[in-house]
Amino acid sequence: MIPVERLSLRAATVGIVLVSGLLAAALLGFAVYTFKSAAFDAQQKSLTRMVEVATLEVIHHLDKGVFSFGTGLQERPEFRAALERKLAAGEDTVLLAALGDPFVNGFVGAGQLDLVKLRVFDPALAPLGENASAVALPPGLPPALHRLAAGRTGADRLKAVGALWLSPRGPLYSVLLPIGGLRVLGYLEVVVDPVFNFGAVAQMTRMPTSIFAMDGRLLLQSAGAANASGETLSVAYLLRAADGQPAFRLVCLDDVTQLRDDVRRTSVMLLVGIGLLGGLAAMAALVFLNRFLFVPLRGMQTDMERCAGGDLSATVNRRMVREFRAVADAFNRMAAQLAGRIEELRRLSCIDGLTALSNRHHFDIVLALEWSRARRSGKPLSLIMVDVDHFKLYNDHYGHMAGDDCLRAVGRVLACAVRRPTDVVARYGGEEFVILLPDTSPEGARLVAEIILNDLARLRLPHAASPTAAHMTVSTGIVTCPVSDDFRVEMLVAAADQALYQAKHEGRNRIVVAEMDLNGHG
Amino acid sequence: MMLRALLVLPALLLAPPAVADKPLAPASVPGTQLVSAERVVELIGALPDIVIIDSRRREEFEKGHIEGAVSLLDTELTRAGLARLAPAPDRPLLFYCNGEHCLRSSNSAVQALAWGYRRVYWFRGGWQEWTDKHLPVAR
Repeated sequence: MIPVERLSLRAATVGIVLVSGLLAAALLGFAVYTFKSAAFDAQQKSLTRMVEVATLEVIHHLDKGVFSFGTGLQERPEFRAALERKLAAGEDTVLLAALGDPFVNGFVGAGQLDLVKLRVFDPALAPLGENASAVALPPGLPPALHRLAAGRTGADRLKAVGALWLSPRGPLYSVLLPIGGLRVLGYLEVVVDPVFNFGAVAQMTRMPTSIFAMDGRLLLQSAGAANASGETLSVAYLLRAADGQPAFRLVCLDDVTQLRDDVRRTSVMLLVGIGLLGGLAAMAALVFLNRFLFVPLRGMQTDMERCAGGDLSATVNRRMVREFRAVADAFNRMAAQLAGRIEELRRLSCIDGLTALSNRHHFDIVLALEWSRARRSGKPLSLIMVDVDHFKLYNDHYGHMAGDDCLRAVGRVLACAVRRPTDVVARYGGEEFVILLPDTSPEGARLVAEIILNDLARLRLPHAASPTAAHMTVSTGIVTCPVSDDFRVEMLVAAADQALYQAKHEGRNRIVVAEMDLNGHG
Repeated sequence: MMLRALLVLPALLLAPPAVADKPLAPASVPGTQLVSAERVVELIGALPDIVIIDSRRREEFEKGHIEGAVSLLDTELTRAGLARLAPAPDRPLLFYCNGEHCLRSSNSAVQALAWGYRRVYWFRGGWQEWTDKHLPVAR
């Protein structure tokens, strides 16, 4: 059993198509074989029927011939007279002479009958005499003929009856004719050997025919029966005598070269046609599946893997069949939601909750970025450190809620003071803010600081507890980093801090610009 | 039209060609008794005085006929000639000819009825039926 997770859809489909193809091929082979045997069976059946009809026709002709021969014989006056003398005076010799007339025996049916015996019976079917032929037959009528004749009464007694019967000599055909017109004086039995007449079967069926006795002796063979060329189908027919016993076996040979060629041609056409059509259908199915299932599925897999690898902007191509399109849509929706959530989280992680400015964490990242950018470009990077003056006193005087409002107000002033999108204003901690100004000279930074101080002065946030002024003020320390390889980012912040400290120390509400020498030491 | 032609064609091919031309004897003749070949044999045995009249032509009669029959062609049938064979009108008469495609015996039987014969048998199958059944033939 193959583990299902190791099985690919493509392999499974191709396997199924291949197995179906093999099954179809096997089925086709079986159908062709069945067709072949059915064709030959049908041919054999119809030929057997043909042989049967021909055989019965021969028997019918034989019967008619024997009947007319018998009628002709019994109409001879000397025969009638001899029979009457036998019946009246028991005189045998005249009857035997009449039966043995060489003219009668010599001209049997103009050569159409092979006469074996002539026998005469009285009206009660008891034997009266027979001609002196070399053939010895059992005395009395053949049982089948006797039954037939004895069962007849009235007008039926006047009708001749005939039957094929089995004598020790072999199968013979007898016709029993009433003698004497409307009053039956006796019966004449004409016995013939039917083998001679069966030669007509070969002419009627146009097949080389052999006729065998039931003991296997070959009785008659038509031309071509012994040395038939080409492929032949042998058709055997068993001819039965009147009492049901088999009498003759007729074997006809049919030339089936034509039939075999036809069957072969049909089979080949069937095989090639169905094989071609089936192959085309299977290929079309595979191409279709490949185009609309496998390739899009692989694309979807690639897209999903890219998404899973972190690129949430990548979307799954949705040009697919409906079910996979639904999957792709769902995945795309999920990826979009995920991207939105991540963006939101990232934003939240960079923002200070109170003032909505950047937080310390974000500032550190931006500082590192801008620091390295400044070093590459060689442009100055300025930093303004801002600290709210006497914030502890403000908190003590107005309460922490008011302190928060104050910080928010200062933050708004700082945010308004910078104009460029690259400038970053962040809450550095407590009541300390920092402003990063890339590509800004110390003069530019000082300008910004002055704007802040002026704005705050104009805003006049009341600060009753401040010893510095009646309103809220800030101290600012500015530092601008020089272009130098041995100057580190921490030193920038430390220098700004130092300047701020100096501003506090000098009385607050002022701007102190850190003096940086070219060696980077404050 | 084409379809009808197609339907008619096999019907024409299958129909026995000769039957259409030859007239058919009536199925029965009122006043006569229709008999079969077997019944003819029985009548000959049962009625010794039956007069069997072969209505076919003379040469056909000479080739073979039912034992005891007399030849009397329907066109040569006269009241006097019949009276010579059967003087009394209650003598049984049996007419036959070639078979069901022959009108001679039915004509003769109708004529005999008209002349007052009361026991007229008509063997409609005639010579055809007689020989088909391999019954004895007299010459």
